[in-house]
Amino acid sequence: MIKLNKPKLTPFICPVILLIIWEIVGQLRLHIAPFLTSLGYSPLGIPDFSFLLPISIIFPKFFKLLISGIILPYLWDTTWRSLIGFVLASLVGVTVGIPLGLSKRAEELFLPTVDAVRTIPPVALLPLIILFFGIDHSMKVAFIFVGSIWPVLVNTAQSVKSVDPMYIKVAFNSGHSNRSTLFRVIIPSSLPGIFAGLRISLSISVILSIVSEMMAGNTGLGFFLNYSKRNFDYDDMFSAIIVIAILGWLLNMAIHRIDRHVLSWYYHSRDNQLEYSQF
Amino acid sequence: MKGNHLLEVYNLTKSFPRNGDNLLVLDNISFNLEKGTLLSIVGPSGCGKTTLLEILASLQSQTSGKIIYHNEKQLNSDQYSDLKLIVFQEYNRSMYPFLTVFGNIKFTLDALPIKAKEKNKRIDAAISMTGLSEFSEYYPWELSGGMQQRVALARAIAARPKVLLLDEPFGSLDTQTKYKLEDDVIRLTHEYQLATIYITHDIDSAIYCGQRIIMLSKLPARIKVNIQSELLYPRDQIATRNSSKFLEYRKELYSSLNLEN
Repeated sequence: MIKLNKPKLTPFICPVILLIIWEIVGQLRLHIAPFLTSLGYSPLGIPDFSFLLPISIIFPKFFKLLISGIILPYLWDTTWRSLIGFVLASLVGVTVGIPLGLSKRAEELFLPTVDAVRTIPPVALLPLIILFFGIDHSMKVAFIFVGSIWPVLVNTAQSVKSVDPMYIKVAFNSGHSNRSTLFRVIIPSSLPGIFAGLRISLSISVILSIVSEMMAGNTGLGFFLNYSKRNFDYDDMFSAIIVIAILGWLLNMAIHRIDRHVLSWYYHSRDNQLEYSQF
Repeated sequence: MKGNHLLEVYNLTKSFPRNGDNLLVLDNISFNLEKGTLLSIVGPSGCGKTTLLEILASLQSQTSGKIIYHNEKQLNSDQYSDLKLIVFQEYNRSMYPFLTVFGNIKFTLDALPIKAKEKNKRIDAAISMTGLSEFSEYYPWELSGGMQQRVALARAIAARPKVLLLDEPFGSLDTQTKYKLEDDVIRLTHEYQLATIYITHDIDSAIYCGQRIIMLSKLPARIKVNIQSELLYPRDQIATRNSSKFLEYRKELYSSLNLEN
């Protein structure tokens, strides 16, 4: 059961400090750099960092982009693209991960290959993916899929493999079939590990969605980011960065909520055991 | 008497391959068991008691020997199952943490061909019989060790197994809880006419519960002592444990234990 606690201030301390530092640096740049330049002094020949805008200039633009709705189609594009890639990666990752964790032979057969392939950076596969899918949406989804499948797959295999053999013994002893043992014992007790993989994969899918948008096409926050930079609209660029950060935070919170809800037994049993510990 | 046997075990032997050699664990074990009786098996730790139980429950296979389960004429055919259920020693690992007490008991019944109504009736009966009525919606990890052990017992009893196999079920419990559960096991064995095999390393407990007491030797396990107990049921934790017969059996078992060293 999800408990909605009173909003706490703690999570906001860090962002606020970061924003204050950002503002100070921006203001310093704004006032000191022109002054130095006017004296004919160019410190160490460094360019004047004119893109380094203080947050007080970015925020009005950020809200304007949100309220006018200009950025929303881009945000929407990135969101659904990440989610489609993530859902596909999760479905395949879990379905392939389970047999990989169940069978020693399947593990021996496939795991070395999985370990080799998942080390290839997704970006290194991008040219190949473009050759296969062209440069439209399907290319981007395939790119996200290829990059974000590994955490779910490996975590699923690992958690299935490490299910307590006693659980399986008990199920067989009470006459449950292999199938029933799989669905009623092995999968439920692997869920904490599977969810840990899902959370990592979700973050990766957002990252790769943005990377793919920066590479090709004219949709999504990645494109918006690149486009603003090319037009020297640094306030737009920073706004897009903030939107991405908020998107990542929201998606992570959503999956965290689902996780807590589905696995309430797990977190409660853990809290139960930790009750007397210092941590 | 012979015709009443539910389980007959002849010359059961088990060895494990180890470092190119064979490690003999069970050596020529033979016994039989009737319905509604309780057989205690005592033996030192690591003498292969758990292996014996798992072979009886078909979770492992024997190297040689014969195990015969007789099909009883049953009053009601769906009343009893063919299960050989083990109540495992590690109760905290044998309970599913994602299921409640009710769910854990139901899980054991779900593989049996019984109707939902009958299922619920049995679960409720098993829960109240083991004194868990208030805890049926609790998760196992919310319960104490003794309570968890009761859930394990309730789970086995609800399934009405052909043979109930108890693997050191009271090993880590306090004396009070242990006495209570010993009486529960005796009562349930009689009430449901179960055939119960109670494995323990506690000689006193074995004598107290068992209608027959078998003592196994150190590895490889052989039957060293086989006592048909003359202690009467119902038994009483104080009176029975102080009776002359009890002390006589105790002496016999302890002295055969010492002979080994």
